[in-house]
Amino acid sequence: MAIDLTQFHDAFFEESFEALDSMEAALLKLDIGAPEPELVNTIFRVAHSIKGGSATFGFSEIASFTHSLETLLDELRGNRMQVTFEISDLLLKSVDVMREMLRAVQAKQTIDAQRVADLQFDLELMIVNRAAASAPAFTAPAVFAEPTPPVAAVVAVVEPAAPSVAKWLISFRPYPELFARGNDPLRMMRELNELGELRVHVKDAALPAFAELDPQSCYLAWDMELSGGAVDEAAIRTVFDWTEGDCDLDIKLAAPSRHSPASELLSAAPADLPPDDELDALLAANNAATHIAVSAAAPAQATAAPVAQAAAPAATPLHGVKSDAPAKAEVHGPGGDLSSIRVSVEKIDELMNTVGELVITQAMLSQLSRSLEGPAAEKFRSGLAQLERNMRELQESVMRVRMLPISFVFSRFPRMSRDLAQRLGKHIDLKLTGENTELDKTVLEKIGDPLVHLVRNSIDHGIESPEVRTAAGKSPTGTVQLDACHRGGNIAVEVSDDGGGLDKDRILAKARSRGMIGPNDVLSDEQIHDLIFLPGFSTAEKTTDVSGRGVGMDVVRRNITELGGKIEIRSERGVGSRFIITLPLTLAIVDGQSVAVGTETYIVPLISIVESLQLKAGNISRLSGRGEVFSFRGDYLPIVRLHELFGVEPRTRNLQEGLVVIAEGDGRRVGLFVDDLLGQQQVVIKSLETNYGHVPGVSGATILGDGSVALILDLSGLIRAASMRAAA
Amino acid sequence: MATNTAAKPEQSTGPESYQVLTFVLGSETYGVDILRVQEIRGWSAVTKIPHAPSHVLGVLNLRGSIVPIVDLRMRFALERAEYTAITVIIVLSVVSGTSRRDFGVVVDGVSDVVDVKSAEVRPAPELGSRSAIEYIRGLVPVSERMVVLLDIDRLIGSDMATIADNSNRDGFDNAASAA
Amino acid sequence: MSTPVRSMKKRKTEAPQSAAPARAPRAPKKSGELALPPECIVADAIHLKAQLNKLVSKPVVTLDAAAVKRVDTASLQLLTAFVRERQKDGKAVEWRATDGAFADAARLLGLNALLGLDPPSPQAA
Repeated sequence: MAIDLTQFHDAFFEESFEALDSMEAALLKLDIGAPEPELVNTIFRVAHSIKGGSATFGFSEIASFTHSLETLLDELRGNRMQVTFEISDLLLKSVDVMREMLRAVQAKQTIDAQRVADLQFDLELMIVNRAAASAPAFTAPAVFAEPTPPVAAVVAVVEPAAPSVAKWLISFRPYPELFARGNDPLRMMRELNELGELRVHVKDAALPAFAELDPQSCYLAWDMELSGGAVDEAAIRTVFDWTEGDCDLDIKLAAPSRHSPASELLSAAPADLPPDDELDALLAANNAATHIAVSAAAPAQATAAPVAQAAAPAATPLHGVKSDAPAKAEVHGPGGDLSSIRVSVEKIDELMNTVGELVITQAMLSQLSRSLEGPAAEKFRSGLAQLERNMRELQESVMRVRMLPISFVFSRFPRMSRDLAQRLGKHIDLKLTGENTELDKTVLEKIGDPLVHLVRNSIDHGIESPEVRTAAGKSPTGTVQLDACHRGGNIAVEVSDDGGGLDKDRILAKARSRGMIGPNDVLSDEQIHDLIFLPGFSTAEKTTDVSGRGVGMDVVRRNITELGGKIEIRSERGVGSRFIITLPLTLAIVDGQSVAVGTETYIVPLISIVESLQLKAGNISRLSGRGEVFSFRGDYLPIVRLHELFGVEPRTRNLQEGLVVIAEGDGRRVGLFVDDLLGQQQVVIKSLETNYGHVPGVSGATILGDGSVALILDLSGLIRAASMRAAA
Repeated sequence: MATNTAAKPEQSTGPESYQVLTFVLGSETYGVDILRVQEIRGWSAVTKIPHAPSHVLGVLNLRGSIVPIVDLRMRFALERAEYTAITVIIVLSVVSGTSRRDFGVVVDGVSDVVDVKSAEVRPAPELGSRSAIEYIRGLVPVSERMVVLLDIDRLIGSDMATIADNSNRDGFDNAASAA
Repeated sequence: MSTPVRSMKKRKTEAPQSAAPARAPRAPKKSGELALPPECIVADAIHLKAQLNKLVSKPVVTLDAAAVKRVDTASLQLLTAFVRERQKDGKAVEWRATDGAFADAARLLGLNALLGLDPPSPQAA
């Protein structure tokens, strides 16, 4: 009976996506000039494990593609191929394609076969060219046949595909219109010259007499010889990319050179590849003092070619590949570690809910216990107090279970910035700090989109082009920094850049022209910056599709306030901008101040409160066009009568008899007029929208100790609602 | 607070007949599909929601969920009644699209669970200016009474739409916003 | 993009009587000099040809590459044709200050010999 493997699919998908993330991260970290072996190994292992898993589950398209990828990566891992920008791009594209394939299979949809085939072809081409270049290159046996002195049997480089003495013959016959098409053979010679050693023979037979010559037509042709270890046909063809259709091009491999220093050691030119065991025997018998390694991974082409020196810059002759049977390659992914376990999100949510209920029940018990009397009551109450402490600890522990490091969100930015910077022609240095800062999973999930928008904004509109930057005396490379830290019981996430900063004048002009502010309004810098959060506000010259239309800063702020957080801007023209987001540690619980308005109780999130005070007659005034205001720290703040806003009968309408809670939201500060302050507590947030809907000014509800429901206020929405009321 | 969960009898095969919980409002008897009924409980004070439609009395804590309570008399523009000891809240589950919402309706009292055969359901006549057809599935005779079968999904669904519309405007007033 | 070429100086000097076969002292009084512009590229090649045309029959021609920062195949091709034309008449082209960008380019295109740059050009004056 066949085992039903479908139960393991989910784990496979999850682990594969994670592995692809680590592969992408490694690729982005890779220094093309000096790739760290450990990174290359990581990348290889990812491909290998996904290949294995997909083959096991019968996902043959994924297995086949990953197999090609693995082969290419093995060449890189074994230093038989050099990591180039081209290969790095190819590998990044492979990550994308694999993600697509996995998603498609997971959703039981069809894979885009064409895309996969195209990329797979490119991978194969890379590999084939490598192998082709080396095919006729070696015979070791002739050398090893007789006992050679240790000196001669120098280093065995595992390079089944390395043409240490390859020579390419290139015949380049441009058509006359080559110049007119913008091509310059000189450029191609230069590039070829960088690939290896170039010898050029010009053919001038077609060059007419001076008088007849048309200076803009090309009459010359060239035969060239290019030798070098790292050269393969694909690289040469790339050099001539732009000339397609404007020339006749012929590239072929010459017979191996007899003049390379390496071959001087050999008595005969290499011709055949020795079978493995024969070679092993020879090598063993040789007893060379040098380091010899054979790669078992190379597909049946184990070869040893003694070279006295680096035949090509890429291949370090002394570097051998450790015998590493791929079958045994360990994948140290998250799944292989027994000290942690995977838990489904639903289970954690259930746990959180249950703990939340416990908190409410405990609060109810405490409430009931207040009315008890007698000695037993005392003991009961102290028992309950202990219970309350335990509950708090339990709650915090469970909260921590749901917390994940913000690196999960940050990790997508290197790739995104790189692609974006390339597209926009800007030079960006992305710095990530505080990646270990932990926040609640739900907050984490929802903070991603606003951050993406802010980073895109910085790169697109903030950081200037290299020319503009240089002209301004700045380094042509702009810096965008993402930082996260815990600050005063909250999380602070900051996106900052050293770009051009916000242009206050343009913002003011735009706001005035849209009637958002009056022509004579005087605004502080902070207030001007805050204008960009108004819906439909964008002073970008043109909305590039990069930052997206319709995803304005107003949506960013709304997303953040929905999370119970806030966002502030600090910006200086010419210097840069900082967007500072403050978020609560968790969505499930909020620290709130209970206030009474009439018979109703409302919860005001502490994060929004500045101060609470009692008004005196002298503070209060009425300004025309602004209604009731009071003075606070040199400013006049509007008074919001909650009883009016919510249609509730208050204890008192007299401002001096109630209390004012100064709160901020939507970039503004107001004074909330309430009857009484009832106390501060942590409340579990319950959704009002699940069964009812959204109420302006209300972010959710909670269940108090007596079992009744209290509404939790959303200051931003509340202030907006109050403004509209005042305007009406 | 008497709480009892309405028994959910065996589902009859196919839509030819189904079971209905009947309840009384004023002098009329209404019925809702038993599958929609979550529980029945007694009346308790609700927390008001600012500027909700007047028939939405407020919200209650129902085993940890915040559930809105609707006064059906007000919804149907019947005479208002006092809430007495036997005033009951039927907690219903409404399905819209892929989501499920819980709702409580205040009724005068709960009656029996009856079997209804689809064939016996007659279409509802136009009742005055109310477009009752919207949320009335039909009328069915049950032991000498006429039971008005409610399409609770439609009834609550339309309420939800109104509430959603109101909440898309930032302000509470129905006047158009200044922005 | 191209800068105006320095006007040719006409020197009334006696052409040296030398045994070098490349120099034909037929018209002893006129010798020509051309300073190549900093940007010697295909866009200006027609103009360059016109200038070279004026020198084709001069007894002595010196091409000064001191200002050249960039040169492309089209220009070098043109110069090659020019040199060859001169050689047909048994005349030479003298090169000045070709070290650097100019010589590199010529070498990469394999045009050293044809341009008469090999051996290394005479030093700048």
